[in-house]
Amino acid sequence: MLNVKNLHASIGENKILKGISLKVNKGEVHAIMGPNGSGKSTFSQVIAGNPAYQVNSGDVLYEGENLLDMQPHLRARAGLFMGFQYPVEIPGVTNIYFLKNSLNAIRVANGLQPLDAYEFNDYLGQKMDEVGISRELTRRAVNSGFSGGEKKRNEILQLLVLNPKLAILDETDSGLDIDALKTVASGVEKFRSQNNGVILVTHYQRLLDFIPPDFVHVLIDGEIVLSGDSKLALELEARGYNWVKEENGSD
Amino acid sequence: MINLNKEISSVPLPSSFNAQMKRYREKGLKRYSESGLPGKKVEHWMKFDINPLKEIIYKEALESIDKNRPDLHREFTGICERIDIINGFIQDHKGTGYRISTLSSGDDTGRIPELIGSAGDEKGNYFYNLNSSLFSDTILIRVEKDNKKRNPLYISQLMLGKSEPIISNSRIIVEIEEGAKLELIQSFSGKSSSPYLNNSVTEIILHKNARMDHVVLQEDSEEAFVFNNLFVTQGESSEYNLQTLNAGASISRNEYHINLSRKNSSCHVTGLFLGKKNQLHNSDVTIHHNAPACTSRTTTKAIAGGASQGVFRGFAIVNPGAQKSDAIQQFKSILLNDTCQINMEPHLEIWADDVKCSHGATVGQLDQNQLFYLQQRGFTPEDARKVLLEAFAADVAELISIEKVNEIIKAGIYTLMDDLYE
Repeated sequence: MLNVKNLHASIGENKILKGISLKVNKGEVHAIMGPNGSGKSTFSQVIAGNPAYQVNSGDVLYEGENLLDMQPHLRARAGLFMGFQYPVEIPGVTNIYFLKNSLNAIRVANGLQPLDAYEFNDYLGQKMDEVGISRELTRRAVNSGFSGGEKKRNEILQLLVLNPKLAILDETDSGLDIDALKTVASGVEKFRSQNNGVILVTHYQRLLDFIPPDFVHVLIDGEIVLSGDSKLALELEARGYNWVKEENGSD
Repeated sequence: MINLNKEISSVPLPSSFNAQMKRYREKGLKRYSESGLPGKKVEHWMKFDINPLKEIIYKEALESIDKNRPDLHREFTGICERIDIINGFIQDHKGTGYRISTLSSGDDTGRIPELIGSAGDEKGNYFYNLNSSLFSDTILIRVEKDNKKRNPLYISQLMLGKSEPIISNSRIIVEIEEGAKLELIQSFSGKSSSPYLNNSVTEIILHKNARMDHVVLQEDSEEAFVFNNLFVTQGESSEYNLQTLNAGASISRNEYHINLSRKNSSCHVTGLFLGKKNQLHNSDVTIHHNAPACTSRTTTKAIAGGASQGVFRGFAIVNPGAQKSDAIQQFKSILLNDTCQINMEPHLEIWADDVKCSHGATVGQLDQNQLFYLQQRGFTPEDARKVLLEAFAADVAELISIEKVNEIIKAGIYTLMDDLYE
C-alpha cells in the first residue's frame, strides 16, 4: 500500500532524508528505529505532508497514487494517519468537536454518510472504553492542558476512531510510563489487522515487546542501513546503534 | 451644513430643550470650539487617522422612515423589545414595557436634564464634545426594581443616507435603579451611497446593586464612520458586563470610560474586532478605579485581514484610596497577512499600594503546527483556519451574557468571520 522510493527531503538548508526506500503491505507492522537525529520524525512528517519539510527527490506511491502530489487533508481522507510525537494543543476547540468533524470529513470523502451526534457519541464511547480514556477528556479542548500520557492516549483514540488504512505512529511511546505504554500498545494491537498497515517510529525496543513488528528497519543519518525481523530490535536493544553504523560504513 | 474643520456656528436649538438643556448644549459647543477634532499629533490619536472623515461637509441627517430599510437583526423580533433610532431620530417607543422618555416627547420623568452628562461628562473629549454641541434629542431608559420579567431591550441605531453625506448625534441615557437589572443590545448599521458619520453617546448610571448586561454590535456599512462614546458610572456592588463586536464601518472608534465609583463594583469589558479591507478601528477603554475592592476585566481580541488596521488602548487607573482593586487587561490579536496592522497598548496607572493588577498583549499569526495537525485529521486548509479563528474568538463569543440572544449573536459572529479571508 505504501511504496517509498529513494526519498530525499530537507528542512530549510538541512538535508535530513538521503534516499529512503521502504515498502509496506497490508497486514504488516514495520518498525523504524534509529538514534536521535537520524530522520525518523522527518520521515513521518514528510509522508503526512507537513509543508515545513521539502521533498527534494524520490517517489512515494500510496495505493497506487502519487502521495507527494496530495495535500495533507487529502492524504488523511485517503486513509493515512499520523500519530504525532508532540500532539498539538488547540485551545478553544473541544476534543469531541474535533473528532466528530475529523471522522465525518473522512467518511464523506469516502462516500459514507456522516454520523449524527447520537451515532457519533455511541461510537466514540466504545472507542474510549477501549483506550481507557475518561469521558471528561472529550469535553476539554484538544490536548490543551493534557498530561503527556493523556496526549498520547488521545492520539490512539483518534487512531481507533478514524480507523485509517495506514498509520504512522511517530514515537508514540516517548514519555510514557509503563502502564500508559501498555494502554497505548493495546490500542495499536486492537487497530492492527490484515486490512491495514502500521509504521511504528520508535527509539526504544520496549514498545515492540507489546507490538511485535513484522519488519524492523534501522535509520541512520537519513538512510535505512539495515532491515530485518523483530529479532533485530532485540539486538539493537542489547548492543545499541554504533555497531550498525560501523558495520554499514556509516559514520 | 457642518464642516468639522471649522467652528460650529449657531445650530438651531430644538424647542423641546429647556433652559438647563440649553446650557448643557452651549457648554458642549464652547468645549468643541476649544477642542475641535484631534489631529495626528495629538497623543492617542497618532496611529488613528481620521482625516478622511474631517474632509467631508455633512448635512444634519433628516428623519427618514423608509419602509424597506435594511434590518440586520430581524431575528431579535419576538425575543427582544425594540426601539429604532433612525438618523438620530427616536422612533415609536411605546409598548416595550420599559419606562422610556425622550426630550422630544416631553420627558415625563423630568430627569433628563439632571442625568445628562452625569456619567462622566468631564472625561469626554472631541467626539463627545461634538455630540454635546449638536444633539437634538435624548432618550432615557429607566429601570426600577420590580419583579416583572422583561425581554432584553434592543436599540437599533440605523443611518439611512442618499447622495449627500449626513451626520447624526444620538444621545442615550440609561439609569438603573438600586437592585434593578437591564439587558441591552445596541447595534450600529446603515445604508447610504455616500459617507455618513454616526456619532453616538451613551451614558449609563448604575445605582447600588444594579446590574447591566450590554452587547454592542457594530456592523455598519463600508460608507460609515462610527463613533461610539460610552460613559458608565457604577454604584456600590453594581455589575456591568459589556461585549462589543466591531466588524463594520470604514473608520470606527469606541471610547469607553467606566467609573467604578463605589466599593465592590465590577465591570467586564470584552471586545472583538474583525478587520477586513481598509477598515480602520480604534478602541480606547479607560477604567477608573475610584473606590476600594472593585474589579475590572478588559479583554480585547482582534483578527485583522485585508489591509485593515486596529489600534487598541486599554487604561486602568487605580486612584488613591482604591485599595484591594483587582484589574486585569488582556489583549490578543491575530494578523492574517502582511498588510494588516494591529497596535495594542495596555496601560496601568496605580496610586494605591494594596492592589492586584496585570496586563498582557500578544500579536501573532495562525499557528502552523495547529493548522497542520487539523489537516492531518482531514480538515481542509480553509476549514482548519476557520476552526482556529473561531476558537480564538470563542472566549469572546461565548461570553455574550444575554441568554436569549447569545446563540444568535454567536452564530452571527462566526458568519462574519467567514469573510475575513476574502
